[in-house]
Amino acid sequence: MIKKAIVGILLVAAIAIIAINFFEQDAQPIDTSESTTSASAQDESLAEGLSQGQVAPDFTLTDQNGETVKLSDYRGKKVILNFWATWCPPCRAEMPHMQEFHENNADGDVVILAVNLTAQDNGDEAIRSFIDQFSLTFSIPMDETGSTAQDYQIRTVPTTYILNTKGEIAQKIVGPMDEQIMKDQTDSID
Amino acid sequence: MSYVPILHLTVPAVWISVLLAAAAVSLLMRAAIGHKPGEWYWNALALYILTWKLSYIVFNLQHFLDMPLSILYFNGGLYGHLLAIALLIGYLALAQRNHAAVAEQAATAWLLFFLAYQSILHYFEAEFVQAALQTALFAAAIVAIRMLGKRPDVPNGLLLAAFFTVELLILSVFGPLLTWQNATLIVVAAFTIALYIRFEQKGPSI
Repeated sequence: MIKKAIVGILLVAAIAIIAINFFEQDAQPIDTSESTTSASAQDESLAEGLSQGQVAPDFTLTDQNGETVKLSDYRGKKVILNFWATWCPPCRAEMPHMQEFHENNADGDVVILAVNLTAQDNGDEAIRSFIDQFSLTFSIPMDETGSTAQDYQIRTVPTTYILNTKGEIAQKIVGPMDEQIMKDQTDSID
Repeated sequence: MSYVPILHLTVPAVWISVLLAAAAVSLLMRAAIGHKPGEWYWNALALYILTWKLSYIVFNLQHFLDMPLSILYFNGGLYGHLLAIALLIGYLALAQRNHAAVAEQAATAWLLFFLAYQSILHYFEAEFVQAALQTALFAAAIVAIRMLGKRPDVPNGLLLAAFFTVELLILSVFGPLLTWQNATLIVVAAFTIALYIRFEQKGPSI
Protein backbone atom coordinates (compact mmCIF):
# COMPACT_ATOMS: atom_id res chain seq x y z
CA MET A 1 0.00 0.00 0.00
CA ILE A 2 2.65 2.48 1.08
CA LYS A 3 4.79 1.47 -1.88
CA LYS A 4 1.91 2.21 -4.25
CA ALA A 5 1.42 5.63 -2.63
CA ILE A 6 5.10 6.51 -3.04
CA VAL A 7 5.12 5.33 -6.67
CA GLY A 8 1.95 7.37 -7.23
CA ILE A 9 3.53 10.55 -5.82
CA LEU A 10 6.63 10.00 -7.91
CA LEU A 11 4.65 9.46 -11.12
CA VAL A 12 2.33 12.42 -10.53
CA ALA A 13 5.33 14.69 -9.86
CA ALA A 14 7.13 13.41 -12.97
CA ILE A 15 4.04 13.94 -15.16
CA ALA A 16 3.58 17.43 -13.70
CA ILE A 17 7.21 18.29 -14.52
CA ILE A 18 6.67 17.17 -18.11
CA ALA A 19 3.39 19.07 -18.36
CA ILE A 20 4.84 22.29 -16.94
CA ASN A 21 7.99 22.29 -19.03
CA PHE A 22 6.85 20.95 -22.35
CA PHE A 23 3.20 21.95 -22.73
CA GLU A 24 3.57 25.38 -21.13
CA GLN A 25 5.89 26.43 -23.95
CA ASP A 26 2.96 26.35 -26.38
CA ALA A 27 0.99 28.88 -24.38
CA GLN A 28 1.52 32.44 -25.54
CA PRO A 29 2.38 34.67 -22.61
CA ILE A 30 0.28 37.80 -22.39
CA ASP A 31 2.19 40.78 -21.13
CA THR A 32 -0.13 42.69 -18.86
CA SER A 33 2.60 44.50 -17.01
CA GLU A 34 1.87 47.86 -18.65
CA SER A 35 -1.81 47.81 -17.87
CA THR A 36 -1.36 46.61 -14.31
CA THR A 37 1.48 48.89 -13.32
CA SER A 38 0.06 51.69 -11.28
CA ALA A 39 0.98 55.28 -11.94
CA SER A 40 2.37 55.66 -8.45
CA ALA A 41 4.66 52.66 -8.92
CA GLN A 42 5.97 54.19 -12.14
CA ASP A 43 6.59 57.49 -10.41
CA GLU A 44 8.47 55.72 -7.67
CA SER A 45 10.67 53.83 -10.13
CA LEU A 46 11.56 57.07 -11.88
CA ALA A 47 12.78 58.68 -8.66
CA GLU A 48 16.51 59.17 -8.39
CA GLY A 49 18.20 57.30 -5.57
CA LEU A 50 20.42 54.42 -4.55
CA SER A 51 17.79 51.74 -3.89
CA GLN A 52 16.98 48.95 -6.29
CA GLY A 53 14.58 50.17 -8.97
CA GLN A 54 15.51 53.81 -8.55
CA VAL A 55 17.29 55.77 -11.27
CA ALA A 56 21.02 56.05 -10.54
CA PRO A 57 22.13 59.63 -9.77
CA ASP A 58 23.49 61.28 -12.87
CA PHE A 59 27.05 62.63 -13.07
CA THR A 60 29.40 64.17 -15.57
CA LEU A 61 33.11 63.37 -15.27
CA THR A 62 36.16 63.28 -17.51
CA ASP A 63 37.71 59.90 -18.29
CA GLN A 64 41.35 58.81 -18.71
CA ASN A 65 41.30 59.90 -22.36
CA GLY A 66 40.00 63.37 -21.60
CA GLU A 67 36.51 62.57 -22.88
CA THR A 68 33.39 63.71 -21.08
CA VAL A 69 31.33 60.92 -19.57
CA LYS A 70 27.72 61.63 -18.62
CA LEU A 71 25.92 58.67 -17.08
CA SER A 72 22.50 59.52 -18.52
CA ASP A 73 23.98 59.38 -22.04
CA TYR A 74 24.21 55.60 -21.59
CA ARG A 75 20.44 55.05 -21.29
CA GLY A 76 19.53 52.18 -23.58
CA LYS A 77 22.60 50.21 -22.51
CA LYS A 78 23.24 48.18 -19.39
CA VAL A 79 25.94 49.77 -17.27
CA ILE A 80 28.43 48.24 -14.87
CA LEU A 81 29.18 51.29 -12.71
CA ASN A 82 32.24 50.41 -10.69
CA PHE A 83 34.06 52.51 -8.07
CA TRP A 84 37.71 51.73 -7.39
CA ALA A 85 41.11 53.04 -6.26
CA THR A 86 44.69 51.94 -6.94
CA TRP A 87 45.41 51.21 -3.26
CA CYS A 88 42.62 48.65 -3.00
CA PRO A 89 43.80 44.99 -3.37
CA PRO A 90 40.35 43.59 -4.32
CA CYS A 91 40.12 46.27 -7.04
CA ARG A 92 43.47 45.04 -8.35
CA ALA A 93 42.14 41.45 -8.39
CA GLU A 94 38.94 42.51 -10.11
CA MET A 95 40.42 44.61 -12.92
CA PRO A 96 41.70 41.78 -15.18
CA HIS A 97 38.24 40.18 -15.03
CA MET A 98 36.62 43.48 -15.88
CA GLN A 99 38.96 43.99 -18.84
CA GLU A 100 38.26 40.45 -20.02
CA PHE A 101 34.51 41.03 -19.75
CA HIS A 102 34.90 44.29 -21.68
CA GLU A 103 36.88 42.59 -24.46
CA ASN A 104 34.39 39.73 -24.70
CA ASN A 105 31.48 42.18 -24.94
CA ALA A 106 32.99 44.74 -27.28
CA ASP A 107 29.90 44.73 -29.52
CA GLY A 108 27.43 44.00 -26.75
CA ASP A 109 24.90 46.15 -24.94
CA VAL A 110 26.89 46.40 -21.72
CA VAL A 111 29.12 49.36 -20.88
CA ILE A 112 31.69 49.48 -18.10
CA LEU A 113 32.22 52.82 -16.37
CA ALA A 114 34.91 52.31 -13.72
CA VAL A 115 34.94 55.52 -11.71
CA ASN A 116 38.31 56.12 -10.08
CA LEU A 117 38.14 57.73 -6.63
CA THR A 118 40.74 60.24 -7.73
CA ALA A 119 40.24 62.54 -4.76
CA GLN A 120 41.21 59.68 -2.41
CA ASP A 121 43.82 58.03 -4.64
CA ASN A 122 47.61 58.23 -4.78
CA GLY A 123 47.99 60.76 -7.55
CA ASP A 124 47.82 60.87 -11.33
CA GLU A 125 51.02 58.89 -11.89
CA ALA A 126 49.84 55.95 -9.78
CA ILE A 127 46.50 55.89 -11.57
CA ARG A 128 48.14 56.02 -15.05
CA SER A 129 50.56 53.28 -14.03
CA PHE A 130 47.67 51.11 -12.80
CA ILE A 131 45.73 51.59 -16.04
CA ASP A 132 48.84 50.74 -18.11
CA GLN A 133 49.72 47.72 -15.97
CA PHE A 134 46.34 46.09 -16.59
CA SER A 135 45.98 47.50 -20.16
CA LEU A 136 42.53 48.81 -19.28
CA THR A 137 40.60 50.00 -22.31
CA PHE A 138 37.14 50.64 -20.84
CA SER A 139 36.12 54.12 -19.73
CA ILE A 140 37.56 55.30 -16.41
CA PRO A 141 35.89 58.53 -15.30
CA MET A 142 37.98 60.45 -12.74
CA ASP A 143 36.11 61.60 -9.64
CA GLU A 144 38.54 64.43 -8.84
CA THR A 145 36.34 66.24 -6.34
CA GLY A 146 34.89 63.17 -4.64
CA SER A 147 31.35 64.40 -5.24
CA THR A 148 30.28 61.35 -7.27
CA ALA A 149 31.57 58.95 -4.61
CA GLN A 150 29.64 61.01 -2.09
CA ASP A 151 26.45 60.89 -4.18
CA TYR A 152 26.77 57.11 -4.40
CA GLN A 153 27.70 56.78 -0.70
CA ILE A 154 30.85 54.81 -1.47
CA ARG A 155 32.26 53.56 1.85
CA THR A 156 34.14 50.51 0.61
CA VAL A 157 35.85 49.77 -2.70
CA PRO A 158 35.27 48.13 -5.01
CA THR A 159 31.58 48.89 -5.06
CA THR A 160 29.59 48.24 -8.20
CA TYR A 161 26.11 49.27 -9.25
CA ILE A 162 24.50 47.26 -12.05
CA LEU A 163 22.16 49.53 -14.06
CA ASN A 164 19.52 48.38 -16.51
CA THR A 165 18.82 50.03 -19.87
CA LYS A 166 16.52 52.56 -18.18
CA GLY A 167 19.34 53.67 -15.90
CA GLU A 168 17.71 52.04 -12.88
CA ILE A 169 19.74 50.28 -10.20
CA ALA A 170 19.29 46.54 -10.48
CA GLN A 171 21.95 45.47 -8.00
CA LYS A 172 24.63 46.85 -5.70
CA ILE A 173 27.66 44.67 -5.10
CA VAL A 174 30.30 45.51 -2.53
CA GLY A 175 33.42 43.47 -3.15
CA PRO A 176 35.20 42.19 -6.25
CA MET A 177 33.41 40.52 -9.15
CA ASP A 178 34.79 38.04 -11.66
CA GLU A 179 33.76 37.84 -15.30
CA GLN A 180 31.10 35.21 -14.61
CA ILE A 181 29.39 37.39 -11.99
CA MET A 182 29.39 40.35 -14.40
CA LYS A 183 27.87 38.14 -17.09
CA ASP A 184 25.24 36.68 -14.74
CA GLN A 185 24.30 40.10 -13.40
CA THR A 186 23.95 41.77 -16.79
CA ASP A 187 22.23 38.80 -18.44
CA SER A 188 19.53 38.79 -15.76
CA ILE A 189 18.35 42.36 -16.39
CA ASP A 190 16.66 44.18 -19.28
CA MET B 1 22.11 36.30 -7.70
CA SER B 2 21.37 37.86 -4.33
CA TYR B 3 23.84 39.27 -1.86
CA VAL B 4 23.78 39.50 1.90
CA PRO B 5 25.38 42.54 3.54
CA ILE B 6 27.85 41.51 6.25
CA LEU B 7 29.73 44.43 7.84
CA HIS B 8 31.24 46.33 4.89
CA LEU B 9 31.01 43.46 2.41
CA THR B 10 28.22 41.88 0.43
CA VAL B 11 28.52 38.12 0.35
CA PRO B 12 26.62 36.05 -2.24
CA ALA B 13 23.52 34.56 -0.62
CA VAL B 14 24.46 31.21 -2.19
CA TRP B 15 27.57 30.93 0.02
CA ILE B 16 25.68 31.74 3.21
CA SER B 17 22.91 29.34 2.23
CA VAL B 18 25.38 26.49 1.63
CA LEU B 19 27.03 26.95 5.03
CA LEU B 20 23.75 27.33 6.94
CA ALA B 21 22.24 24.32 5.13
CA ALA B 22 25.30 22.21 5.94
CA ALA B 23 25.03 23.07 9.62
CA ALA B 24 21.24 22.56 9.67
CA VAL B 25 21.50 19.12 8.07
CA SER B 26 24.22 18.07 10.50
CA LEU B 27 21.77 18.80 13.31
CA LEU B 28 18.56 17.58 11.66
CA MET B 29 19.93 14.25 10.43
CA ARG B 30 19.50 13.16 14.04
CA ALA B 31 15.78 13.91 13.75
CA ALA B 32 15.52 12.10 10.42
CA ILE B 33 17.63 8.96 10.87
CA GLY B 34 18.27 8.98 14.61
CA HIS B 35 21.92 10.00 14.57
CA LYS B 36 24.22 12.67 13.16
CA PRO B 37 25.96 12.05 9.82
CA GLY B 38 29.42 10.53 10.04
CA GLU B 39 32.73 12.23 9.45
CA TRP B 40 32.29 11.56 5.74
CA TYR B 41 29.69 14.37 5.60
CA TRP B 42 32.12 17.10 6.60
CA ASN B 43 34.87 15.54 4.46
CA ALA B 44 32.57 15.65 1.44
CA LEU B 45 31.56 19.23 2.15
CA ALA B 46 35.18 20.34 2.64
CA LEU B 47 36.22 18.54 -0.55
CA TYR B 48 33.53 20.31 -2.53
CA ILE B 49 34.27 23.79 -1.13
CA LEU B 50 38.05 23.49 -1.43
CA THR B 51 37.89 22.13 -4.98
CA TRP B 52 35.40 24.76 -6.07
CA LYS B 53 37.49 27.54 -4.48
CA LEU B 54 40.98 26.40 -5.49
CA SER B 55 39.97 25.48 -9.04
CA TYR B 56 40.11 29.22 -9.69
CA ILE B 57 43.84 28.63 -10.08
CA VAL B 58 43.25 25.98 -12.75
CA PHE B 59 40.68 27.91 -14.76
CA ASN B 60 42.20 31.40 -14.29
CA LEU B 61 45.89 30.54 -14.13
CA GLN B 62 47.15 33.77 -15.69
CA HIS B 63 45.03 35.97 -13.43
CA PHE B 64 46.22 33.98 -10.43
CA LEU B 65 49.90 34.29 -11.45
CA ASP B 66 49.47 38.03 -12.03
CA MET B 67 47.63 38.52 -8.76
CA PRO B 68 47.91 35.52 -6.38
CA LEU B 69 45.73 37.25 -3.77
CA SER B 70 42.81 36.97 -6.17
CA ILE B 71 42.29 33.44 -4.81
CA LEU B 72 40.90 35.13 -1.69
CA TYR B 73 38.11 36.75 -3.64
CA PHE B 74 37.15 34.36 -6.43
CA ASN B 75 36.28 30.71 -7.10
CA GLY B 76 36.33 28.29 -10.01
CA GLY B 77 32.84 29.23 -11.18
CA LEU B 78 30.78 26.73 -13.15
CA TYR B 79 33.76 24.62 -14.23
CA GLY B 80 34.99 24.58 -10.66
CA HIS B 81 31.55 23.43 -9.53
CA LEU B 82 31.49 20.60 -12.08
CA LEU B 83 34.99 19.50 -11.11
CA ALA B 84 34.03 19.59 -7.43
CA ILE B 85 30.89 17.51 -8.04
CA ALA B 86 32.93 14.93 -10.01
CA LEU B 87 35.44 14.67 -7.16
CA LEU B 88 32.64 14.51 -4.60
CA ILE B 89 31.07 11.55 -6.40
CA GLY B 90 34.50 9.91 -6.64
CA TYR B 91 35.04 10.44 -2.91
CA LEU B 92 31.64 8.93 -2.02
CA ALA B 93 32.31 5.95 -4.29
CA LEU B 94 35.64 5.27 -2.58
CA ALA B 95 34.52 6.05 0.96
CA GLN B 96 31.47 3.76 0.88
CA ARG B 97 33.76 0.76 0.34
CA ASN B 98 35.13 1.09 3.87
CA HIS B 99 32.35 2.96 5.61
CA ALA B 100 28.84 1.61 5.22
CA ALA B 101 27.46 4.82 6.77
CA VAL B 102 28.29 6.66 3.55
CA ALA B 103 26.08 4.42 1.42
CA GLU B 104 23.38 4.41 4.09
CA GLN B 105 23.26 8.16 4.75
CA ALA B 106 24.46 9.95 1.60
CA ALA B 107 21.12 10.10 -0.27
CA THR B 108 19.23 11.33 2.80
CA ALA B 109 21.93 13.88 3.60
CA TRP B 110 21.95 15.15 0.00
CA LEU B 111 18.15 15.44 -0.06
CA LEU B 112 17.99 17.34 3.23
CA PHE B 113 20.98 19.51 2.35
CA PHE B 114 19.51 20.53 -1.00
CA LEU B 115 16.06 21.26 0.48
CA ALA B 116 17.56 23.28 3.33
CA TYR B 117 19.79 25.17 0.89
CA GLN B 118 16.83 26.04 -1.35
CA SER B 119 14.70 27.11 1.61
CA ILE B 120 17.36 29.44 3.01
CA LEU B 121 18.36 30.83 -0.38
CA HIS B 122 14.80 31.76 -1.31
CA TYR B 123 14.20 33.43 2.04
CA PHE B 124 17.30 35.54 1.34
CA GLU B 125 15.96 36.32 -2.12
CA ALA B 126 12.57 37.29 -0.63
CA GLU B 127 10.82 34.67 -2.78
CA PHE B 128 8.60 33.63 0.08
CA VAL B 129 6.17 31.35 -1.75
CA GLN B 130 8.96 29.17 -3.08
CA ALA B 131 10.79 29.35 0.25
CA ALA B 132 7.66 28.19 2.08
CA LEU B 133 7.14 25.29 -0.34
CA GLN B 134 10.79 24.26 0.04
CA THR B 135 10.54 24.44 3.82
CA ALA B 136 7.33 22.39 3.79
CA LEU B 137 9.00 19.73 1.64
CA PHE B 138 12.06 19.82 3.91
CA ALA B 139 9.87 19.21 6.99
CA ALA B 140 7.85 16.53 5.18
CA ALA B 141 11.06 14.75 4.17
CA ILE B 142 12.35 14.67 7.76
CA VAL B 143 9.02 13.38 9.09
CA ALA B 144 8.62 10.80 6.30
CA ILE B 145 12.16 9.45 6.65
CA ARG B 146 11.80 9.34 10.42
CA MET B 147 8.43 7.55 10.37
CA LEU B 148 8.87 5.31 7.35
CA GLY B 149 12.61 4.72 7.24
CA LYS B 150 12.61 1.73 9.56
CA ARG B 151 9.54 -0.01 8.17
CA PRO B 152 10.43 -3.12 6.18
CA ASP B 153 7.57 -2.59 3.72
CA VAL B 154 8.83 0.86 2.72
CA PRO B 155 11.30 1.02 -0.16
CA ASN B 156 13.51 3.86 1.07
CA GLY B 157 15.26 4.30 -2.27
CA LEU B 158 11.89 4.92 -3.89
CA LEU B 159 10.83 7.24 -1.06
CA LEU B 160 13.95 9.37 -1.56
CA ALA B 161 13.45 9.35 -5.34
CA ALA B 162 9.88 10.62 -4.84
CA PHE B 163 11.11 13.52 -2.70
CA PHE B 164 13.79 14.42 -5.23
CA THR B 165 11.16 14.37 -8.00
CA VAL B 166 8.80 16.62 -6.03
CA GLU B 167 11.74 18.97 -5.42
CA LEU B 168 12.44 19.01 -9.15
CA LEU B 169 8.78 19.82 -9.71
CA ILE B 170 8.96 22.83 -7.37
CA LEU B 171 12.14 24.04 -9.06
CA SER B 172 10.63 23.70 -12.52
CA VAL B 173 7.47 25.58 -11.49
CA PHE B 174 9.55 28.63 -10.52
CA GLY B 175 12.29 28.42 -13.14
CA PRO B 176 13.64 26.57 -16.16
CA LEU B 177 14.08 22.82 -15.87
CA LEU B 178 17.35 22.64 -17.78
CA THR B 179 19.89 24.26 -15.49
CA TRP B 180 23.25 23.18 -14.09
CA GLN B 181 21.73 23.28 -10.62
CA ASN B 182 18.98 20.82 -11.55
CA ALA B 183 21.49 18.63 -13.38
CA THR B 184 23.60 18.56 -10.21
CA LEU B 185 20.55 17.66 -8.12
CA ILE B 186 19.65 14.77 -10.44
CA VAL B 187 23.16 13.36 -10.88
CA VAL B 188 24.06 13.37 -7.18
CA ALA B 189 20.58 12.08 -6.24
CA ALA B 190 20.80 9.21 -8.75
CA PHE B 191 24.30 8.28 -7.58
CA THR B 192 23.54 8.39 -3.85
CA ILE B 193 20.24 6.51 -4.24
CA ALA B 194 22.09 3.83 -6.22
CA LEU B 195 24.58 3.60 -3.35
CA TYR B 196 21.70 3.23 -0.89
CA ILE B 197 19.92 0.53 -2.88
CA ARG B 198 23.18 -1.43 -3.14
CA PHE B 199 23.64 -0.97 0.61
CA GLU B 200 20.13 -2.35 1.25
CA GLN B 201 20.71 -5.32 -1.03
CA LYS B 202 24.15 -6.26 0.28
CA GLY B 203 23.87 -5.04 3.85
CA PRO B 204 26.38 -3.13 5.96
CA SER B 205 29.20 -5.50 5.01
CA ILE B 206 29.89 -3.84 1.63
